[in-house]
Amino acid sequence: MKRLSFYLQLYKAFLRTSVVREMEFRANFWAKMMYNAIWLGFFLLTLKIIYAHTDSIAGWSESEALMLAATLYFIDAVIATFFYFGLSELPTLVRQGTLDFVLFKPVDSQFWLSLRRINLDQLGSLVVAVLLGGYALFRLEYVPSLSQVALYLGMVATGVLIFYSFHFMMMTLSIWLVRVENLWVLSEVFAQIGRFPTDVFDAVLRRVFTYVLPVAFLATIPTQALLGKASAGFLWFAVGWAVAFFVVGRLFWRFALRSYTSASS
Amino acid sequence: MSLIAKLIALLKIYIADSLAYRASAFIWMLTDVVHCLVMPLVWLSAYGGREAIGGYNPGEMVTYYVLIAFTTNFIVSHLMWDLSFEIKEGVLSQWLLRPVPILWMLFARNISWRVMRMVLFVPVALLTLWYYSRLTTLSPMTLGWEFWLSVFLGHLVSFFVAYAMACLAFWLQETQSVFSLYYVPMLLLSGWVAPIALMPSWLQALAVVMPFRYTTAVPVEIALGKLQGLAMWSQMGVQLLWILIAWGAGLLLWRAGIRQYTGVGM
Repeated sequence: MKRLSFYLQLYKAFLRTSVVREMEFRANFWAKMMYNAIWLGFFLLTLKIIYAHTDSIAGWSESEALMLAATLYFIDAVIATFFYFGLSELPTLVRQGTLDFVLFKPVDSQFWLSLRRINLDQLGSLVVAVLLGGYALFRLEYVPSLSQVALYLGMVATGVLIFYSFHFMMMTLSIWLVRVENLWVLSEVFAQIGRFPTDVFDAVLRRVFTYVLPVAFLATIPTQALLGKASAGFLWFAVGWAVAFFVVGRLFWRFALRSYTSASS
Repeated sequence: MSLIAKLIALLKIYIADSLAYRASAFIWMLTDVVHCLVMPLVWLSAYGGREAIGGYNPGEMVTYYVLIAFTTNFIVSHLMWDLSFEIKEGVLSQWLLRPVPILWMLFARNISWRVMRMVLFVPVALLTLWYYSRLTTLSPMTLGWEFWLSVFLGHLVSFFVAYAMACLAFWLQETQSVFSLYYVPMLLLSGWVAPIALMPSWLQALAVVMPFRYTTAVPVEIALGKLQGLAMWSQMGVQLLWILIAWGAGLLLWRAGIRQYTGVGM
């Protein structure tokens, strides 16, 4: 209990410093908000181009695909807001040997690395994602039941945990791949696969993206759950995957640290 | 030492240099892999029994994306990120002292990296084509000399546009957001997202007057036989035109920039 309140206190401090930092560059803040919106527009335009020529992609209507896009965009924005900035510093810490200072702290190193920087200009993306989801449901003229919403939110939460753990593992590779500067791209690729319904894949790849590299659990299956097209049983799968990914990510980090030799010291 | 000998020496250096970054290159390549795996599948599931969408049959759609990913690896330059950094951090100062034109150095560095990326992509392209050959009959592609000529012209278009854009670093403190936004029209109008013929008419009109179509879309359309005869040659003429425009703009900006460059960090 004492430990928990200590970490809560610590997180409050992280939040405070991040806000202060952001307020120093307010013009930049709005520019980045705009910038995020433009990239969302870019993807929506891609969808428009495709749906100008068809009514359905593997059984998904345009509005359903919009809902899926909103879901993925939301998960992406959560990662970008709470975890991305901190973890993107990991390769630099390894290269310069300053990871030592993190490891010496009386704090869990994964906690410190993942949560230290909160990127407030992504908060706008969270709002936009919610609005987009609302718009998609409006276009579908669909009102999900309370249990479907609960199922959906539960799955989005597991989606966040899966994506976070994947990203953490990829960034952990920097312990060995000291010179590789673009490890973050691996997570981008992961999300890139999930932007379209995984139903477009053939049976083999679909199984791979459901049970091996669970991209389907980011957006496809949660959206299906919201629209009443996936059974509630998938929630247990999703929870199982999320827990497994988190545990494996943690073990992988500990394992990686054994190979960490600390540059420059 | 003649200029050609210097260029060859530069190429040797930069090829060795880019080989040192092969792991990064491999990771960057994955984004292309996913793109040319996912996008054709999305389209294939959109046909619903029709023979063609926007003049592209399923087989052409597949080869389109494989070719666009392949040519992008060689053509599309991202040199403005490094160069703007080097201008702002003063690395440029050492280069100014070297007995080689900087433009040649940049060219050698860019093409070495691009060649490595393209070679790395060949097995991926073959694997993707094999994967799709089970789903649909692939369309024939003609990778004749006209295609390669257009690829090389496209390479130069992208190189000079990126070069001209990098010069902004002489004046702007913050270039990152400008460069990032560049990717929105670039990815759309170069044909990366989808064949330009499938886009709404306002985007098609925009594609004609922007340089991006003349990087990757033109060579790919040549390989697919969508551009032939006079149409093909006139499109290559426009490629040449864009090379001259971007080159000219780059040289002017560079000269103006150098005059007020202060060499930070000296």
